[in-house]
Amino acid sequence: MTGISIVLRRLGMTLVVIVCVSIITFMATRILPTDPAALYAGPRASAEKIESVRQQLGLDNSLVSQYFSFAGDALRGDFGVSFRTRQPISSDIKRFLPATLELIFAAMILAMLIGIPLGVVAAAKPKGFVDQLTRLMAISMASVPSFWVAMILQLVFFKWLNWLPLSGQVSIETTLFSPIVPITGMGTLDALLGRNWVGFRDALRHLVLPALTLSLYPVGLAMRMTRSSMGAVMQERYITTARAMGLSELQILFKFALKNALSPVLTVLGLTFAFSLTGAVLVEVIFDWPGIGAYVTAAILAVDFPVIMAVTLVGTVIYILVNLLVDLAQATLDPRVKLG
Amino acid sequence: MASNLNSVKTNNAVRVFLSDWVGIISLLVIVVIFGCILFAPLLTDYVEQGLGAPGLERLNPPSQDYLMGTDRLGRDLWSRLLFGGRISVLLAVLVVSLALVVGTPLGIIAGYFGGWVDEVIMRIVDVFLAFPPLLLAIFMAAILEPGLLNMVLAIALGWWPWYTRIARAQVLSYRQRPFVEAAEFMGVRHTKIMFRHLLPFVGPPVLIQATLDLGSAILTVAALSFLGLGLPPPTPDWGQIISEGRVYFPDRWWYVTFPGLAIFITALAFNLLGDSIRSSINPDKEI
Amino acid sequence: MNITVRFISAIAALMMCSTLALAQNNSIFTATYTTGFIDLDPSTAASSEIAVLANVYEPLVWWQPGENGSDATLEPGLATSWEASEDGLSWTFKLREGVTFHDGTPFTSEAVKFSIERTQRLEGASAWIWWAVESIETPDPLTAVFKLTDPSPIPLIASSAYCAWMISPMVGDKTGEWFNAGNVAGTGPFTIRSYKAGVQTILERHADYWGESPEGGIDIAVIDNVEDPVLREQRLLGGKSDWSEGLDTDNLAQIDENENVRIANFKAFQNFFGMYNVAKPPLDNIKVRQALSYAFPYDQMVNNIMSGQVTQARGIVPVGMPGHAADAMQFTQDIEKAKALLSDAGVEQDSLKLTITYTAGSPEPQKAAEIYKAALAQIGVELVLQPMAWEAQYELATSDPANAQDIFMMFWWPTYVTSLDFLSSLFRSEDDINYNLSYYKNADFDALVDKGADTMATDSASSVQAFEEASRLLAADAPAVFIYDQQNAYGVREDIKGYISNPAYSHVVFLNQISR
Repeated sequence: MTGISIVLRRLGMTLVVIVCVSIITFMATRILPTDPAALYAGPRASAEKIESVRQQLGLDNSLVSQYFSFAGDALRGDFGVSFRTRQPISSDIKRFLPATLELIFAAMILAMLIGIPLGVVAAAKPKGFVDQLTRLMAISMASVPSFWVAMILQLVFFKWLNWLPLSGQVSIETTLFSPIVPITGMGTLDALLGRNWVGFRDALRHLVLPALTLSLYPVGLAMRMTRSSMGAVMQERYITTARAMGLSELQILFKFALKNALSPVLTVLGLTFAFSLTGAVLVEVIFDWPGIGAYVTAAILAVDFPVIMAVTLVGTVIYILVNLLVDLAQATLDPRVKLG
Repeated sequence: MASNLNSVKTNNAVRVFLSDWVGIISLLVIVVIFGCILFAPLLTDYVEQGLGAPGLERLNPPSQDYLMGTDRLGRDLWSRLLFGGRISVLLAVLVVSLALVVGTPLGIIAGYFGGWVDEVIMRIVDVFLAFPPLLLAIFMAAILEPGLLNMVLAIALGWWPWYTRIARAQVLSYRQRPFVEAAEFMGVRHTKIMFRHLLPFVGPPVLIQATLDLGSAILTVAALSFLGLGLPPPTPDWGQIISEGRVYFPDRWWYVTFPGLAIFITALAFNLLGDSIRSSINPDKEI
Repeated sequence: MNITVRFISAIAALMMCSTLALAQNNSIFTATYTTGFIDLDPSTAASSEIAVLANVYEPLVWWQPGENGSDATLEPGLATSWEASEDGLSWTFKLREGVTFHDGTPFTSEAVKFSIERTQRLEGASAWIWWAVESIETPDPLTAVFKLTDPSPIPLIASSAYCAWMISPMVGDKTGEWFNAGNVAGTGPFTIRSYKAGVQTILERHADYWGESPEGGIDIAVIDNVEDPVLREQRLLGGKSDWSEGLDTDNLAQIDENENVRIANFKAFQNFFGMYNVAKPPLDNIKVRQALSYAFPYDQMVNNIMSGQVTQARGIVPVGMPGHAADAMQFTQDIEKAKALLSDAGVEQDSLKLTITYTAGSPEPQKAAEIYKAALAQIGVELVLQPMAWEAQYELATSDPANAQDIFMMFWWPTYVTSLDFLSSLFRSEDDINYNLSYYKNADFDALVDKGADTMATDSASSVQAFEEASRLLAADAPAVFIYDQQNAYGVREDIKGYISNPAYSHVVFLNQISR
């Protein structure tokens, strides 16, 4: 099969998976609860409201026609209305997504800046001190509850050291005196674009702790993956040859090994993105960060089911697409990687 | 013959494992944790409080009387952690067990029969793997009513596919082995081949994954409880205690710090143990 | 510099000044509330949205607490004076001159007639307060005459926190939807600039308000709805919020210690209780109810859990309100007595399992339920805790009593300052359950309450007496476990001046009274 047809086949499979995901989420809401209309109408609902929701959802129709109207709506971006905010959920998601993306990108950057170099060093001396340390660190980072670490970081950096702010995206002073003009919706980026240096510094200071918390697991992942793929590469023949030819370790590390270890970097980035999507749910509320995670957490508290449903669907589709992109990129880099 | 090879490998693995002090320590820690949880009533003077009875000394910092301080209803936090640990660890074990028990046979079947059976099962696996695990758990927990079994189900739903994949991969690599072909030729029933002959090979990687997953399961259970999707009150598990203590943080730091440490240490122990076991069995395959 | 440049720079300077002025800390005030507002229609709103409505609309009369509980007064609002007829069947109100609605319409007796009639027509939860009003006459633009079917204390009723706001007649046929889109039609010092339901409301000062405003007053008020108690506290301490309700009782002391924030305590007419489902056996047996009431750990709740910030309730009418009987029965925890009563009633040990519901996410009911559970375990009763959203709780309770919860924990505060709203609204026999969530039906009690209601306007002494009698009867009959009467504690930034909370208008910040 040619490269194109492999890609097409993979795209087709992804599409099928997305459809199946939508079917499963749809079926779950129709079959599992005792009264789907009550679930959608929410805890505030009177009997009349539940009845009207039943009409809206078309619960008296066949499951198949229900699914098609559900899917049709979803494709058009209509996920219904949140009864907490009374706004269409799609506009809520648009409003809150940039803040979460800001966190995710920051976490990805941290994962690369911290994780990869450490992984390189660890790979340079297998079984050495740094290697053992990074292994321990990576496992530790994967064992710690993110919402707890968030609070501990607040304790250390806000309460004890007073270096960083407690929560929020910007301080009240910035909002009043040097407000950041929203362009992308990401505080730091917008401040930069608007040359608002005061605002930028403030937004950055607020970004540190949440991004750090979210990046813990990805950093560990990056360390380990870089190390393992570099470790494998380091044992390859051409590395020994290069060493024999007199190149210094450093040159070898950065000229050959790292380049070929780029593939796992992509994996790490993809995994970071995917992990951060769900990690944000736990972390944002602690930092009063106005993103999708906080939105879902508030929805859970308010038993706002349409929101939970919509975010699950949208989040899953994003997760699937990111995984697809990573796979495609890896396949481009390394033809040995199987796509199908 | 196959079994001889296995026992030699096992012996090697055990030896490698025993030389890895990290693995040993984590195993000891796990034993200690399980011991504490099992013998909880013996380890505290405040058994009633651990079970939920309120006390009068509310929000006290750690002291001689109250090792880890007290919570908002005056209950000794150490006792609550002990009894709450029963729930947290039990839930984690149930989640992993369910995922394992459902996923592994499916994987064996898929790998063994191949063909359309394999296709169907693996497509289903792909679909379930497409969900970010925590989101799926949140979604299911929101639909189902709060309860122990529902919570286990909600989480396990995102995890069983991994076991299917692992089991299938193992079966595929051993499928063509002479002993399997011989058994088939002799007319041994499929189920017997799958679960008598192939299962022992599927076992180890599945169990390693299970050990590692126990660590993640502890975290996921805590996360769901923290979000408020856990068990109905007043059954405490560690995540719920952290959620309760959040409003008092950081002034009454013990309320959040100790349950978090409990989660961290338990998850860490399981993760380190699983990592050590995996390294022991595949010493050259460094992850 | 040519004239164009000068002109442009002048405009620029002006704009910069106004932006700066807007950005000045002084004129923006942020208040944080717990739950979202449900209904911004002034004729039907019956919940926390008075936080907004009390600044956008005005009633004819305001209730003002006195120095002590007893010398409360009724102050002129949009009405300047009022007088009853001899037979008490009509009240004449003289209206304030020179007041206009936000839409420019002048405030006249037509508006009074329109507002009350609209409220009666829409039959919101609190519309019952106008039950005695047959019609309203408008002899001249500044006089409104209420014609009643029975004597009724109209000025007191006109000071209600709910359903007593004056609305512009230009509203006409518009429904609640129009109001809930953020539109306003009142006379108050503020209008709604933007409204995001459940999230944030922004109010801005109305330039043509008839009344005075303080020096350094507030120009823009941001009202946030934050359900997470931790965030409420953090925002208050961080300066993002200037005022907050719903702070955890255990954190009040340390919040007060913060140099930028203080805790303001105010008298309230709010109390906390758990309604027994009297229609569901064995709670129909008074001995069982008394046993449950003897089991509740009042001392622990009041002095330990709530750190003495509340007082134990004595019956349903909160202390300080006329109709509160200081000698009414008050239970104290007595486990032995409770056990004896249970066995007297024929209930075997460990055979009774009761379900209690309370609003999820609310810390005090959660704590109360947990200690009650432990206490009831001592008398062999199992209590199952079921936190639910308020509306779901309410749905459950108003459905078939046989399936409803056994105990319903809730808070209550009055529509207007009268024990009638406690005694009658909560416990008078109802066929169609409104708020008598205990399904209590007692003809003697009804008679006393009715007597109190009938004489309220004509003979306040015997009205109060009747209410006190009713209170005593109720307390002894134990259709609910009466837990505590509370005050209201709010967190306020130190630089806010002039903030006073009025117990008749719960949780309202009167934006026109405060300044920085």
